[in-house]
Amino acid sequence: MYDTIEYKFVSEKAETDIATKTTTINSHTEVNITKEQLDLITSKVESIRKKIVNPVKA
Amino acid sequence: MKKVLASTLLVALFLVGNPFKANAQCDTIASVCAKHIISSFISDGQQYRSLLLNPDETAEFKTTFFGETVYRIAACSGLTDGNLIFNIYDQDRNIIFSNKDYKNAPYWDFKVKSTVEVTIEAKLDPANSGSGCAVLLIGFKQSKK
Repeated sequence: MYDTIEYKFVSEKAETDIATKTTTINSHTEVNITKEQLDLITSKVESIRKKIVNPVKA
Repeated sequence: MKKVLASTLLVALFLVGNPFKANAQCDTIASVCAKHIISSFISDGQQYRSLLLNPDETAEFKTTFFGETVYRIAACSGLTDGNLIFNIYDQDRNIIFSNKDYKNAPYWDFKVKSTVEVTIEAKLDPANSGSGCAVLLIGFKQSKK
């Protein structure tokens, strides 16, 4: 299901401040997801949740 | 027969005793290292340990840095600071940071804007005669906006 979603890692230069001993990581991941893909995941999560909340009694 | 038994026992004691000694050494290093994770940071609850036998060996740990968070990484080997070199790489293996560039700083903070997967690489500094046990500790706190 997640295979169809596009992920793109964007590498950006990190900035370091020696005085505060801190490095800011600016890289990020861009995710392109359509409404249809999101709806598919939502319904799958909903069905899994239903199974957990209302388990079928044997 | 008694001699054989005695020497077998000695060898067995050596084999059994040594891991305990190494473990105790790592425990001491971990507690020394913990002083760098100050109270404003919450520990991730783990101690990343590795026994490095020489400066050519590298320990590698993978972790996720979540967005809007500040992480503190403390890296120790031996009972003094500056014996361990640690490098941080992003998922494309681009180097983000190396404490080697900052006099082997024993700890460093990382402000993370967006969630990223990172690899932390640790190795002994050949210039310093540290212990073979490398310990990495990770603390975190919410980033101020």
